[in-house]
Amino acid sequence: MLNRGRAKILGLLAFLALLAFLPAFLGPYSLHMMILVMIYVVIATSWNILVWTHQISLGHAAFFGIGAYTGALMFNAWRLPPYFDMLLGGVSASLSAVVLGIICFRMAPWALAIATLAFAEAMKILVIMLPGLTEGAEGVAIPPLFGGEEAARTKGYYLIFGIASLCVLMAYFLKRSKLYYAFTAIHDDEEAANMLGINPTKYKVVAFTLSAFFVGIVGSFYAHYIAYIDPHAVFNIHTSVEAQIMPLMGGLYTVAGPVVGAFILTLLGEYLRITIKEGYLIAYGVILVIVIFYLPQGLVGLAGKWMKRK
Amino acid sequence: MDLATFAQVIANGILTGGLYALIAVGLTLIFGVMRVINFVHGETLMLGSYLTYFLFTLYGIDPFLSLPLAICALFVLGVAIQRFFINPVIAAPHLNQILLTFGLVLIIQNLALILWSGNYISMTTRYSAVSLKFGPLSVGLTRLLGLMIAILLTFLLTLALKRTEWGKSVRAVTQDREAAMLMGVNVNRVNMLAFGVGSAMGGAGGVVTSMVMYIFPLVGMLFVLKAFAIVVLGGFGSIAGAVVGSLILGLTESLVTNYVPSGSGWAEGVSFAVLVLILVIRPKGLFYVE
Repeated sequence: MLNRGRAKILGLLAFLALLAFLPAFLGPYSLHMMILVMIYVVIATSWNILVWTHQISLGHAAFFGIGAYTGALMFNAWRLPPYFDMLLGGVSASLSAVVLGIICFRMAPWALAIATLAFAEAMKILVIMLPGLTEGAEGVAIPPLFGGEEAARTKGYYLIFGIASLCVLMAYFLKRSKLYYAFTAIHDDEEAANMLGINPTKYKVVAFTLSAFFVGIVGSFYAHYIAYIDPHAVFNIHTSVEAQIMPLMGGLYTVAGPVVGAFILTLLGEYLRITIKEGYLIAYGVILVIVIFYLPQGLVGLAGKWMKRK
Repeated sequence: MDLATFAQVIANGILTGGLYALIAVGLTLIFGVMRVINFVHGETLMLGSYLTYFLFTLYGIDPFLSLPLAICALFVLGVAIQRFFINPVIAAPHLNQILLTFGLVLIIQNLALILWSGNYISMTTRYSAVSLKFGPLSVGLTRLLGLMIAILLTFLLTLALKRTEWGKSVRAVTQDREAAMLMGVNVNRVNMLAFGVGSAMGGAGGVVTSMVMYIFPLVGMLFVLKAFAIVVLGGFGSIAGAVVGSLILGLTESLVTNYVPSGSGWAEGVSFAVLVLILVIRPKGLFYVE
């Protein structure tokens, strides 16, 4: 008989194998949806890392946009190898997180929430107002790396699948590392953590930096994949909203939660976008409220409870 | 520099600052009493605007007559939101509260989008185009009246906080929640009233907004971000700070609009620059007292 741990690993392997062979079964539109799912897996997982320190960002779109613009502009200027410019996208997003974090973490937890929301808006304004550097509101076109061709799309899928796997793997190992204990120590009792020699600000900055890094990378990936970016598309508040609601629905403080949330909500969001068109985000609001009141552990927590009862 | 233009720029800044004050004062009141980051505050403004608009276009009710109506309606809505949504999570971590109010924003905002579409609308009253001349200055009548409403309501609120029993409880809870509770202050009641009054102020801001600018479902988000910048600038929970912060933001935006190349685009970013600057230099705000 299989024990629970082994069953879990087998299930996970089967799931990964399914994802790896997906391009063979899916048409271009479905594959495009799966690429979006993977992008959101990264955004949701990254956002959730910051929550471990009990801080929230309402502006992860800023890191997505910074990554997208860094990647696109550097690629256009110097024809860097594409993977290298994605890395630079991640680095620039991380750097901005370090600065923002150092400013905000000396204060109450709400400071970062407000500051990040404002930061994303401010970045959008900067990009629009500095057309000499960023081509302004018109946006930037990038020669497509993966393009619309079937084979190229498949390549794009494998790349983002790889990035998403790395990101989730990082979250997994982080959750089992000493860092995680430092993160949670801060959120349980900041003063006590301080006395134990854990510098709360330092660890919050570390978490925030990690949280921004992969989002910057996927921002840059997105720029290459879509081959065109503009400030309203990449510094979009929807991205920030989705970044918080996916982990919340799946289960905060877990590794699987954001992944589950990203799968469900990306596909649900697309369905709602097509059916309701304007105002479909109302569903997200309702989910947010319901989850906070009735499902604080998210779907993963619910599944755990259900399994225990069996 | 042309002095007449400068005077006009300053006047515009003060008028805008008055409108901001109406919104920021309510926000800071709510934060002071409950320590809740209330993103819904922007939506009270949006709802106040649409209420005024519909009363005017459907029933021909003058915006100034809508003011007391909007204040009452948003007061009731504020009390209901506090009672049914905020109160249950009042002891929960900040994180849950922020996400909850953000969720409510998404619901209200998108409901408005679905019901009233995302189009920009504006209304024209008989006196919309009237402007008064003060020497070289020209001031729109509605904007001037808007400023007066802001001054009047802020004055009334300050008076209420100073003189009434409720006001004293509010200040007591703002200063020290636990002590107030021990002294027999009914904190629940104070919370509910403060949230109602704060939301009513936001609604009043909406009435003024509907007279002086375009309204659309996302207008609340625009204002709530600025209001947060103001409240951080003035010091969280300080009414005087919110008023001064509003004037500073209004004036700076007006100056930037007029004296910086392509300034109207940059003006939108002033509040964010102020926010970051204050967080760096004086994180507790200008008016914070230990």
